[in-house]
Order: sequence, then structure tokens, then C-alpha cells
Amino acid sequence: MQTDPFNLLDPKFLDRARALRIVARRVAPAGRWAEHRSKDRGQGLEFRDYRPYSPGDEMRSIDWNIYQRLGRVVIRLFEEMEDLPIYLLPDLSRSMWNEEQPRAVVAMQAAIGLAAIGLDQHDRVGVFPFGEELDVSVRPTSGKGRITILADALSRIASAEREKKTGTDLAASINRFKGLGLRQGLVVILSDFFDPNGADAVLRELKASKHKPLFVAISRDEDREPVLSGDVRVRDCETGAVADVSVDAAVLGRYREAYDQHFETLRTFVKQRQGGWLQIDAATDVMDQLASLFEGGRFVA
Amino acid sequence: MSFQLLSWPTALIGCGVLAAILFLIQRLRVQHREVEVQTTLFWQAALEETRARVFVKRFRHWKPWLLLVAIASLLWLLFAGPQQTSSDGVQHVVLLDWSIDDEQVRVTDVQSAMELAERLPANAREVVAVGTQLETLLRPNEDVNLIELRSADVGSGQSTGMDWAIEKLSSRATDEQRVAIYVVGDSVIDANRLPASDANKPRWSVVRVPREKSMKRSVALKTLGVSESKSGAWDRVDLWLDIVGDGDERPVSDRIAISTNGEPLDQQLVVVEDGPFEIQELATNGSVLDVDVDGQRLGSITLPNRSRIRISFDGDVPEVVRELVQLDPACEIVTSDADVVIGSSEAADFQFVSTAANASPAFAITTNATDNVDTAINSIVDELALRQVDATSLAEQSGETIQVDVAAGDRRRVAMWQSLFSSAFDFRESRACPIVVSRTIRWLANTPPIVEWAAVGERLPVASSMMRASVGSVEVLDGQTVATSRLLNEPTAAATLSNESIGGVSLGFSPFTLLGVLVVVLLSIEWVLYQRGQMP
Repeated sequence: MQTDPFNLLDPKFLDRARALRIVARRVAPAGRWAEHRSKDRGQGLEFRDYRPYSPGDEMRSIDWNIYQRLGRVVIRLFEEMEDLPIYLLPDLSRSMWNEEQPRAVVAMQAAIGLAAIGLDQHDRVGVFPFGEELDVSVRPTSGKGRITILADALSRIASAEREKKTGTDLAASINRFKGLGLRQGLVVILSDFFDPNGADAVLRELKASKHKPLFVAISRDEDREPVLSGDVRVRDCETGAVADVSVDAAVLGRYREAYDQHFETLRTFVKQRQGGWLQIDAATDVMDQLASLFEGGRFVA
Repeated sequence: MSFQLLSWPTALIGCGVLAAILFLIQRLRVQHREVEVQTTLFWQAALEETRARVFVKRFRHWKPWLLLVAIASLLWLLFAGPQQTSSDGVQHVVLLDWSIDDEQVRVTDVQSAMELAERLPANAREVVAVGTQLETLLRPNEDVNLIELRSADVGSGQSTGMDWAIEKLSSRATDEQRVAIYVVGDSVIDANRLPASDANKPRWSVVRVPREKSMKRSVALKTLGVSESKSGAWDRVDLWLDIVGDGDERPVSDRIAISTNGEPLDQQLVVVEDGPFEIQELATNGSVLDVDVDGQRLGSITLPNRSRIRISFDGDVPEVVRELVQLDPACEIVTSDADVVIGSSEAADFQFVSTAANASPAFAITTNATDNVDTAINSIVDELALRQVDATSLAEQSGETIQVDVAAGDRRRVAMWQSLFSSAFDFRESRACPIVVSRTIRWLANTPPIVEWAAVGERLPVASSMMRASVGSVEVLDGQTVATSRLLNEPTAAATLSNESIGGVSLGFSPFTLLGVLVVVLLSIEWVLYQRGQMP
């Protein structure tokens, strides 16, 4: 009997997700038939180009009008419609579980929402949760009915990770992900992005990847505006590192500056890579915020 | 500004020490509240710029530290007892009229003096009670509360003229050090008796601090006392009485009512030209006379209780002495149970001795006074009127040195050469002889003279150790007491003094109040900053 401890399979939530669409500008070749324009030339409906006939080409592809006028044998090429691989990388490290309403659950709900969108449009969706290292939970798969498999797998790994209380090493996880040699697709990282190594280490790994990035930052208001005052010893929930700080307006100002700079670095990166950026407030409804990413119901990856 | 408890250098050193202590505390204090956070990534980044309170690192919390130093320093200065100081070269002297026998008025006057002194520069203020002598109640740089404490030790019933006090204090004034005198109350001040002051550049000034109207009376006694009867009768005195006040046109004799033991006195008031009223020939029976004016009790006086001195003779007594005793209305010759025994025997109080017999001094006096004999000799000589004796003449006539010897003993005795009263000396014909004899008899009978009269605001006519007297209350050594009321209205004859507000005195916030308010303001600022998280 399958269980759904994190309420990932809420029908209403999934129905709202399926109303949205992810549209790829052009997907990588060698995919399976689906709804996205690809770089492959094939049997699609939209004319793309001509090329000289070569032995082995189908006779019905020859443009006989051109042959009649110019005496040259050319064949017509059409766009191939293929799928967009969507790789979901939810962060299940300790910082995602360290609150009464864990951010990890929000991340998983967002991941399942995106998975539902992808599966509904015949895309392949894989789930690769990460903490200190990447875990290949569900390899890319397609088919609308696979949403329950994804949710079940995600719940199981989440329950396990919740107990393990691992740290975050996003750079290493991405490195591992690159090593899997998966087809170029949309990499969705759902995380608080509180990697102790900083944003630069993460981006170094991502720069070497040809995947399109979509960063979903799970945050709360107090991340940027901590409710602290006086002399405080802050302890990192993952690493246990401490910092003695006398909180005053100046220190808070510098804290906010560092916070903004961290996320601005990430935002700038995804913008350069024509990726997507979504900041989700963990305290409010996930789907409403997820839908804001889809202008006119579509997200162009 | 100066400090009551600390000197300026001590106060400044204290501030410096406090600043240093706060500096160390600021650096060394580590009391962190531990909080678990999602990440310390951004805190570490912020701390790269804010390494605080690490002993060898740069000190960053200047503003909070300065605020704390300011608060601590102000508290320290408050503890030091700040007080206003004068730099205008004016010595402020508050005079309290101590010639008052009204407890309520006296307390009010002391309070007025304290309030006034509080507003005067501490290093240049002085409070003086004007009694038989000037009693300093507060010296420069002392706490004003000492006025109340010291005033309790100043006995009542003492009086010296206020104008005399002003005269004495004004003599302190110089061109560099002016004297501002404040007179608390309504003392009579005769402007004519005050020393002259340059009108263009006055060295001293007098300001009257008026008493509250509720404390004033419309009429008051100015003079009350008794004197020896003009008739010479030993057992009679004359009463002197004068009032001053509200300008009522009615004859004073119609307004004054004198009673003794509750019964109206039957003697009539006699108006003396340019002087007080007089009632003559009052019996010296020790009764108390109450003086009411318009139904208001203004004072009372206890009449002397005099009886005639009983004299007996023992042995050889000069004839001239016998005659003088018989003529003295104060004396009554008896054969037994005498107050004073006059004779040549050893038992006599007033003894006559042979000149050459034992080479005794001309006047040998034995006193039972417990005071030092050396200090008592002058007053005894005065009381016995021995200064009126022409000692030079006597010495020439006798060929001996005329000596006055005073010794202590268990009872009063006087021994004189018997030959002084013989024809060999002209003493018995001199004016001094009857005076010396009568005074000696009275001294031996321990009967002091009457203080003739006392008037408010004026010095007593007689200054003698024989009496302790003042206007407020005159007490003669025989235990008789004259109580007079206080003059509470300004007489028209009094000097015209300024009733203006006190010039040259800063009446703003005292340094203590100012510093206190400043501390409260700074503490409020600190609290607001703390609430806003701006205080590390």
C-alpha cells in the first residue's frame, strides 16, 4: 500500500499543475516524440528546409515541383517534435527540514507540480534528490501515470533524508549529476541555496553543463530579515559552525547585503543561461507561486 | 559648578576610570545568546566587516560606548553632589532674625533661608542667624540642610540689632568682593545706622525677603520690660510698654488691655513723652502680666519677686555702714534669720578686717560661682561697682597697695578693710561708698539687677554676664522671664529696603536637576536604541 506522508498527490493541486505548460525553445536531438520543437529534421508538420536528395531518402519527401522547374532532386525537411527531459533536483538537506513547516515539503510539492506538467506533455521526468550528495531516485521516465511512482519515490527518499540530517553540497551534487551523462534538458534545482561553499562553487559546476537551469528558491521572510538583536551566537544547523555576532543595524545591513548578493549571483546566472528563476515563500501556497512562473500558462525553457 | 563630596580633579579622574572600565567591559563582555539558524553563510560575510569585542581587534562600538560613558559620567557627577558656583565676585549672606519667639514663624524663616540658599551659588553663600552674636548656620560649599540642623542648636531668646549685623557684614565688602545681604523677615532696620555706600558703585546691597502675608500680624509689641521704680521703692517696679503696627488712629491706651492672673490691672497707663507707655509702682510679687491689644495676646512678662534683704550686724560694724543699711530701702535689719550678716566676726558675710593685722587685701571677695575665677573677676568687680573706687587715692592715704582679691569658696563673702570706713580715708565721703555697700549687700543676697527694658530689633541696653537676655525672651538670672512678641510689621521708621526679586542670582535649574534630567534623557535614548536593535 502506497502512502503519501507529504500530501504530494493532492488531486486539486495536480489538476491545477496540468493546466500549465512548459515550452522548450528547442530541445536537444535524439529525443522521443513529444510536443517540443527539436533540432532534429524529420516527419513533423512544419516545413523547415531543403537538402539534396541522397540515396536512402524517402521518395515521398522529394519536391517534385522543384525537380520540374530546375531539374534538381531535393527533398523537403520538416521539424521533428520531441520531448524535453526535466530533471528535478529537490534539496533534502537538514536546513530544509529544520523548521516546523519544512521547506523540503514545499520543495517536493513544487517538484511534483513540475513533474505533473512534464508528464502530462509527454516529457520525461527524473528525480535526483540531493543533500551532501546526489541520489538517483527515479531515472527519467514518461507517461502520465508515472506521477504516483515519482511521488512515492520522493516520499521515501525524503523520509530517509529527514532522519539522516545531511548537509548541503550542491556543487558536488551537480558534479555527480553531470557525470550521469543525461540528455540535455531542464535542470530544476529546488533548494534554499544555503550551500556553505557559496554560490560561486555551485555556478562553477553549472557553467560546465549544457542543461537549462531553473532555480526554485524556497525561502522565508526571516531569511533576509532575521529577528535577532543583541549579542547572539548563531549556530549553523547543518555544519554546526558558530559565529558570535552583536546584532545592530549596521550588522543587519551587511547581512542583508550578503544575502542579496548571494541570490543576485544566482539570478544573474540563470538569466544569462536563459533559464528560469522562481522564489517561493515557504509560508504561502505553493501552486499560486508556481503559476507565477508560467506567464500566460507557459514557461519557455 | 562645584561638588559637595568630591573635588574637581577627583570627579574628572572618576569619569576617566569609568570610561576605561566601560571600555574593557565593552571589549571583554561575551554573553551570547545561542540561536540555531539555517545557515551562517551570510552572518560570516557580515562579520568579516564587524569583528567586535575581540581584545586585539579594532574597537568598533564607539557610539554606544560614548553613550554609556556619558550616562555613567553623569551619574558619577550626580553622586559628587554638584552645586552652583559664583564667578561674579559677589558674596551672598542671608540673615535670619533670631529675635523671635514664635516657633511657627521661626520654622518658616528657616525654610525661606534654605530655599534662598539653595538658589545661591554654593561657593559664595552664607547663612547667619542674628542673635546676641552672629551664629553662622551655613558656610560656603556646605549642604543647605545643615541650616536646619544647626538652627536647632542656636538657643532662642537672643537678639542683636539687625542693622548692627548688616553693618558688620558690609564691612567685608571690597571693590572686588561685593556683598549681597538678604534679610529674611521683617526686622526693624534703621537706615540711618547703616554704613554709607557709594550709590554709583555699591559695594554691598540689602534685599528683604518678605515673609508670607499670613505670617504677619497687624500689630505687635515693640517694647516690653520693667525698670527700677522711680520712687526708689525696692519692692516696686515700673513697667514699660510700646506697640507698633497697623496705623490705627485710636488712642493706644484704649486698645491695650493688661491683666494679671486673668484680672484686669487697675493701674493706669502713663504716656511718656517720645517714649513708651509706662505703668508705675507695680508690686514685685512675681505675678505675670499679660498684654493684649485689640483682644490679641501679644506678650507677657513676669514681674520680679522681690522681698527686702534681711540684714543683721555681728560685732564691730563701721557707723557709716550701719547708716547706709538703715537708709537702703531694700534692707531690713533683723536680729536673727538674716540673709546677709555684716560684722567683724569670721561668720559675717560682709566682714570688716583690720588693715595691718594679716596684710589682707583691701577687697577680698569669695565667690561660689563655678566659673573660672579669673574670668569671673571682671563681672564681679562691675557688679560690686569697685571700679568707681578711687584706688589711687586710697593707696596714697594708706601707704599700702589697694588690691582686689577674688577666690572661690562655698559661699559668697566680701571682706574689706575696716579702716576704709574710718576718717583716715576719704572713701566714706566718696560717691562710690554707698554704691559699693549697697551693691555688695545685693550681691551677697544674690539679687541681680533688673534688665530695664528690651526692644525688638535693638541691642539690649546692658550687656552683662548677669543676664542672658534678648528681645524675644528676656531671662534674668533670678529666674524671672520677660516674654515679648515678635515685631511682624515693618514700622514706618524702619529703613526702606528693596523688596525686589533677588538680583544677580540664577534661579534656573540647579546643576543637580539639570544632570538628573540629562541622565533620564540619555537612558531613554539608550532604551529606544536597544529596542530598535541598534545597541550592541
